[in-house]
This record gives sequence, structure tokens and C-alpha cells, in this order.
Amino acid sequence: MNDTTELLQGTLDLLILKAVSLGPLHGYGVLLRIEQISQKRLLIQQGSLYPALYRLEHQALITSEWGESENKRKAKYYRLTAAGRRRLKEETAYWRRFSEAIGFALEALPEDV
Amino acid sequence: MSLVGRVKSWFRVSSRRADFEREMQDEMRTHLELYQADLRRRGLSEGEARRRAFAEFGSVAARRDECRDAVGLRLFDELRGDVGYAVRLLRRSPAFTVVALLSLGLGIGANTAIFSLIDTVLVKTLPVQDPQRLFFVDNTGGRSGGSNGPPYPCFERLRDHNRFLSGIAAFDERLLKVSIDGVPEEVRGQYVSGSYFDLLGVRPIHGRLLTAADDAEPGRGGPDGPVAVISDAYWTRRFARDPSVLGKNIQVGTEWVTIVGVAPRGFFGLQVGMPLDVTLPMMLVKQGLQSKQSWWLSVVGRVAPGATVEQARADLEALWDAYMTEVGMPRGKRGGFTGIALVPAAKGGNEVRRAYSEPLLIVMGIVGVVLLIGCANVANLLLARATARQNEIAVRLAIGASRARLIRQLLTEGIVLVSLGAGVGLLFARWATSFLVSVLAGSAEQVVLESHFDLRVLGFTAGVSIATALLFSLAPALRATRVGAAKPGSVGRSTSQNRLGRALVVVQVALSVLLLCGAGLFVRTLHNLNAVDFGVDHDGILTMRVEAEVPGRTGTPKTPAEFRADHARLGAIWRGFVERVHQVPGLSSAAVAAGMSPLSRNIRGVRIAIDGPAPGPEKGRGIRLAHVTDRYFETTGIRLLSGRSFTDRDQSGSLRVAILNETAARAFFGTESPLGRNVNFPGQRVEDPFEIVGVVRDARYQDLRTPDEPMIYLPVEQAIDPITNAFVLVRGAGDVTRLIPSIRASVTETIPGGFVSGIATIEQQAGMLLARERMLAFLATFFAVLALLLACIGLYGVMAYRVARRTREIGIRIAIGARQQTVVWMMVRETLLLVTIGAALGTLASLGVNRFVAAQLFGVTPRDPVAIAVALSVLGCVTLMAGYMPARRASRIDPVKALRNE
Repeated sequence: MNDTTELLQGTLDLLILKAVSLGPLHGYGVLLRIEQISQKRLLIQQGSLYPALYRLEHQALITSEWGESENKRKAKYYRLTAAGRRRLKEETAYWRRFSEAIGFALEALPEDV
Repeated sequence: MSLVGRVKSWFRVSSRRADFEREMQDEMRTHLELYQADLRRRGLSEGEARRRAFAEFGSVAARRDECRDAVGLRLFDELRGDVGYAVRLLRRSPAFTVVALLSLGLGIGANTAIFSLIDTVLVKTLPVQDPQRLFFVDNTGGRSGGSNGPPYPCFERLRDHNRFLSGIAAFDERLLKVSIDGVPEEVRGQYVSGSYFDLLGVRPIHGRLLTAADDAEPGRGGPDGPVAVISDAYWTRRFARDPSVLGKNIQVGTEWVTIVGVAPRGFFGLQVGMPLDVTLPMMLVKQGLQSKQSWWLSVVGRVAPGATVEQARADLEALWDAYMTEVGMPRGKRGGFTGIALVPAAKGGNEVRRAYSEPLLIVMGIVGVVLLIGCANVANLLLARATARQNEIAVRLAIGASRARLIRQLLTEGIVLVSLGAGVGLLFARWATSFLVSVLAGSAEQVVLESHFDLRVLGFTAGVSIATALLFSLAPALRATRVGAAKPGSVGRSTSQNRLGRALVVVQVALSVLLLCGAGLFVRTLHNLNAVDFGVDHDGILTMRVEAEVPGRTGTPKTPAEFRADHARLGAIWRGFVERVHQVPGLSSAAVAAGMSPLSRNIRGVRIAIDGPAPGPEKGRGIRLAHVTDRYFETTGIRLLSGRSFTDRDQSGSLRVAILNETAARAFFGTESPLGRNVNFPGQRVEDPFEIVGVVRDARYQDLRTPDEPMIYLPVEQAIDPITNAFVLVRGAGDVTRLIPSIRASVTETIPGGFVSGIATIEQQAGMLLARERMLAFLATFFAVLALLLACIGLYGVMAYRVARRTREIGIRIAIGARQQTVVWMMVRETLLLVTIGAALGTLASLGVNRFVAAQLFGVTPRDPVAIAVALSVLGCVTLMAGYMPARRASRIDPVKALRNE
């Protein structure tokens, strides 16, 4: 577990939106999907997942319905709404600009100044 | 993520709260189970997997709280918690709760009740079409009393020739004797010109209303004969809303009329607050339609679109001016009439409004002050309680509660208190409204005020409550939380709390003084009015109104001789009746008075002309007229000052005689004796001269305040009016009401179709005339006492709190030898200071404010020293008592306990 990274504040929402954009997921599924697409590098606090899901649903970025899980359990599946899709696009663009900027900043050498 | 979306989401969740909770639980359980299954698959034991899953997930309850927070449910939950807490707190201190709820409930309730009356009387417009363009067409300057419209022939001219009105109608409200299936009763009704309902734009709820065609032919009406429209209330009361009422024949007086329709509910004509059960066409009026100088109508017009009110007025005045000149009243000889005024009619006639608007506004002011005092009380209580809870608040702040959160909680407590208070208030208001309406209904006129809780009244109450809640819970809340978390366990600063509390008490005392002074003024007014000598004996006189059914005259009399004979014939009926009544045992004398009767408010005015030189300042002016039988003055106790009274020899054929009251004698003859002089009544049917044979003392015929007016009495047999109804006055020893059956029998025996109504003793009549004053005096006193009580509770609370605060200090003082009196004095001195400041402010305020009620006073000035002195001494006694109790307790403090206390 040494190569896992703590999440930056505010990035959980973005990751959830990304995860459910790939297909409807239940809560635990979201967790697994984030682990999977981040190649197990991101560690998500299990408890913090649900408040984030409820908040996103409250903001109508995702929506939910009850369905059946792979092992025949009743589970609540989340999917992205149109508003969520727009938000994901915006946030992704923002994140790219942001990490690029941070990257430049950190790679600066004394002679660049 | 709009606000609307969030509210929708919040609403969706909170409306199915149970589902939300269950689903949340299911979801989290599923998560944990799936995770455990995964962990086991990775090789952990069952117990270990379970332990790890729960450990990583954290507290399920905390997660659920966070989820609730995320969808906005947390605020709601906290609010619910706060409300529950507030209710528990209230239940734990019942004394506090009762005082607070009563303070608020009485204040809010009284305000609501008064507001609903004010709404009915002053604010609401009539339920007619476009009421803002309706105006009463009034004669100005006339001594016409009651109705202010021009004579009927003048109305016709205004109707036919005006240029700026889109419609005009005349109406006259009166008491009618209505017989349905042979059962007579007295109802309030009106005669209206054919244009009336069209002008108002009122639609029938059943059948049809009156039209111009119904009002075409004098004595008959129109093509359907004499017709009538009844009110919804009358339809309900008398016909049980039977639809077959249309076409029913009823008798109004002697006239048979056919009911053709029902007016809509809530339509009471143009007077607010009076019932109006039967409406008939103007053409059915028996007298007065042709009379060119008889002022009895009311006229209402609608100003045409595009025209200004002033245009319409000037136009009508020009028509009126020409009319007056034509009928022999050119400028300068108009008996005081000066012109035409257009008075807004949107809110209806102003009789009730004129009588009650000012008293109602005064009472509104009074109850407003009471509410203020109540609020101050509750604020003081909450302040004291917040201070007592400083420890709790300090601890909560210290362990991390935010100030906003605590203020929210304290505000919630305030709102809970006010909501309960408002509930109490609404209950009280219901009772108070019906009480007030019954007080109003007890006055001389029959008053129906449709007072109910409509949205406006509820809105008003809600507004008052919310303002109250903010007013008194915000200040203590802000103050209490300002303590800061620095000093949990310390008592905090008490001086500022005390300063605010004491300031509130000073204000309460000042307001109480204001109300007490006002109450004193009104009580003295009532007392003065009760003591007014109205010229008629108070005791042992019974009056009633009797209406005769005059057999239909064949052809209207034309010549003065025919009129005279007709009047004499009617006069003889009344004389015969009085003779019959005199045979009733137990009765000392009886008389009939037509046109006017003491305190009856009936008014009959004529113009009088004096033969020969009249030195008095008033010449050719109006005078009040009553026709009476010979023992009238003996019966009423109106004293003869000079000359002789009427006798049974004053018959129709004998010398025509008249008696003046002293005001008339003075006005027309100055210091000379009027005896033997001749007067006549120009413009009347009978213009023969009358010789003045006597002068009697003045008596009040309208109400107790109206100053005496010139008045002339004529014998009934020599009447210048046809007397078809009159007041009967009976004097006897003991309880005069026992004579009623015998008098009724005499009426039946001697008066054709005689119908009795309005039986009352003079004393009762005087009482009814004072209903308004009594209401004001009663309410002012009631609320002043209430205010004083509330102020005392406030004072007591503050002083008791002070004593509690200074227990330790007082203990030390006693321990080192202070005497009981010293301690009592120390505490009473503070009370005295507060009361003195409050009383001084209150006295100043009442000197400034009470002049606004001057119009309601009688015999006292707004700065009446007696009222102020009484108010101050009552206040002094009561407040010192309230302050003394805690002081005495302070002097009994056991120093040992006091010192161990802290």
C-alpha cells in the first residue's frame, strides 16, 4: 500500500463523477471502480464516499435507482445526469490546467527564473 | 444545482423521510457486506473481515448524519430538536410559561380582535362594482341630520340633467313593518330609486333585482305592480332559503308587495354594519316624493369615466342652486345649506364609521400598547432566563457549538413561545371579537358586523407574532451568546443585563401610566355623560314606537282644508289611544309624541317664520318639531317655564297653539316674551299661524352630547304632518315594564293595525346612547389594569432577580449589622427610582398623546389633573407592592446560607 496517495480535497467528487460516467454503479462499485481506474494508487476513505454521493445526488449531478447487484443483492445504482456530464467535462478541463500548472511550477529550475 | 432544484430535492427527501432512512441503511449494509465478502476472498477470516470493514467505514451513525447533512436534512432535524427542547423547557417552568403565554396571548388576541373590527368598519370597501368612483351627493351645511341628500324633486333634476355622472340613485333606509303570512315584524329596509342596483352593479343570487321600470308610477311601482327584493340574510332567516319565495306576496305597512329576487350575501346596502332586509322601489314611499323642501333622502352617484370629481360636483351644485332658487330658497335664505359635496362612498355610508372609527382606533392604540408591555415582559423573562442559562451556553460554546447555532436555538425557543402565545391569542380573539360585536350591537342602532377571520386578519396576527418573536428573542439571544466561551462557570456580566431589564421596566411603567390616564379620562367622560341633565326624568318612563295602518285614502288631499281634516282625523286616533291608555291602572300619565321623542334620535325639522318683529339673532331659520298630546310635559317631566301647557281643549277646530323650548325662545325672541306671538311654517301643506302659548325647558332628543337646539311643540290634532307613527310615553310608579301588556292591549283596541316596536325605558335608552362611551371606558380600564398587572410582573421579576443576584452582598451587610429596614429600603429605593422615572415619562407622554382623544371626551380636558393624579397613585401603590415583596425577602436572607451559597 505504499504507492497509494491520499486524495486532495475536492477531488473525490470529480472521481465519483468519472467513475459513474463509465456505467451505472452501486456505492461499493464506485469505490472499486476508482481503485481500478487509478491503478490502485488512490486510497478512498470508505466512510467519506456516501456523504459525497448524497451531496452529488442532492445537486442533481447523479441520479439513483434500485437494482440487483451481481450476486443477487438489492443495490442502489448511481448514474450520471446531463448536468453531471457537463460538470465532469468542466472539472476535467480545470484539473488538467491545474495539474499542468503545478507540474510546470515544480519543474522550474534556477536558470529558468 | 439551482436553489429550486435543491429545495425540490430536499422536499422529495423529507416528504418520504422513513423511506430515505431505510434506503440509506440498506445501502450502507450492502456496502459493508460486499466489502466483507471481498476481504474474505482475499483470505481474511470472517471475524477479521468484519472488524476491518467496520473499522474502515467508520461510525455508521456518523456517516448517516453526514449524508443527512449533505441533502439538507440536518437543519430540519436540529430545528426539530430545538423545538422539542424548547417545549420541554417551557413545561419545566410552568410559572414562566403561564405568564409569558398570557402576556402574549392577551396582547395578540386583543390586537387581532380589534383589527378584525377595524377591517370591517374602516378598511373594507363595499361589495359593489368599482366602488372607488361612487360618491354620496350631500347637501352641505344643512341641519338635516341623518340623511344628507337633496329633496326628491331635486334628485330627479340631478338625475335627468347632470353631465358628469354615469349613474345616480336615491335611497332611504328606514324601519319597516313587514307582515309575512299575517305575522308582523319590524325589519330594517330601504326605498331606492330604480337605478340603484344598476348603479352599484350588484347581481341577484335568485330572481331579479329592481329596475327603473319597477320605479315608474307613484304608489304602484311598475308593470309587475309593487315589488320587493329581500336580502340573503332575510331569505335565510325568514324563508329558509326556499327558492319558491319568488312571487310571494308580503305586506309592508299596509301595502302588498311581491318578492321578485334576493340580493347577494354580504350586500347590506350602502351603510356598513347595519342589516338591510327589504328593498322597495322609491315610488312606494307614501310621503315626501312631491315635497320640494323636505330633506330625507340619501343620494349616491357614480362619476363618469374621464370626468373629475370636481367637475361632477360643480355641475350638480349648479343644478341644485337653480332648484333651490326656484322653490323659494334663494341664496341667503337657505337655512344654512351652502352647496353640494361629493363624499367618497367606496367604504359605504359613514354613520357607523363616524361613530366608531375613532373609538376603534383609540382601542387599537391601547391594545397595541398592551402588546408592547406584554412583549417587554416576555423579553425580560427571557433575558433573565438567558442569564440564568449562561453557564449552559458558555459550556456549549466552549465545547464547540457555534454562536449562530446557539442564537438559532434561542430564536427557535422564542418562536415556539410566540406560536403558542398566538394560539392562545387566537382563541382569546374569537371570544373578544364576539364580545366587542355584542357591545357595539348594544348601542342604539342595530349593528351587524360581519366580523370573521379572513386572510387579512390571519396575516395581521402572523405579522404581529413574528415581529413580537424577533423583538423579544433576538436581543436576549445576542446578549446571552456574547458572553463568550472564556469564562464557563463564572456568572458572566450581569450589569448590562440589568440595565436592559430595568429600562424595559421603566418603559412598562410609563406605558401603564399612559393607559391609566386614558382610562381615567374615559371613565370620567362616562360619568359626566351619565350625570347630564337631559331635561327628561330618568326614572319610571316607558317609551315605545307605535305604527298605525292608515286606511288607504281615496285620492290625495289637495287643498289645505283637506290636509287639515286629514291630519285632524289621524290626530284624533292618537288622542283616543291616549285616553284609553289613561284607564290602565297603575299608570300616572301617558302621552304620544310624533316626529321626535326624547333620546330617540328621530329628527323632524321645518322652517319657521315669525309674524312681526323678532329681536332674536336667528330669523327665518330651521327649528325642530314634535307633535305631542296634552299631558306630554307632565309625563316626561319637562318643566313649563312660562305660559301654559297644552290642554284637552286644544282641538283641531280651536285656536292653533304652539309651545317653544327655551333655546328657541332665546334664539328667536331674545329677552322678549314669545307668548302671544304668531309663527307659521312656510313650505308646509298647512301654513296657518300658530300662537305661542308657553315655553318649556330644553330636553335632549338626539343624544346626550348634542347641544340643545331650538324646538317647537304642536298638539297632535293641529298637526302639520299626517301622523302615522309615534312614540308612546307612559309614566308610572315602580316597575313600568309591567304596564306593557295593558298598553299593547290599548294599541290593539284603538289604533287600526297598531304595531308596537322598540319598547324601552328612558333609562335604557340613555344607556344605549352611551354604549360607545361605556365600551371605551370599559376597554380602556380593562386594558389599563391589564397593562399595570403586566408591568408589575415585570417589575417583580426584575427586583426578584436583583435580590437573587445580590444575595451574597446582602448576606454580608446583614452579617455586619445592617437592620432589616435598611435592607428593605435599599431594595425599595431601586423600585422607587424605576417607578418614578417611568411615571414621569408616562405623565409627559400622556400630556402629549391624550389630546388625540379629545373628541371622545365630555366634561374633562385631555390634561385632566384628577385623572392623572388617580393614575399615578394607583400606579404608585401597586408597583411599590410588587417591589416590596422581593425587598422583604432580601431582608430575611440568612447571612450564613447566603455566604455559603457561592
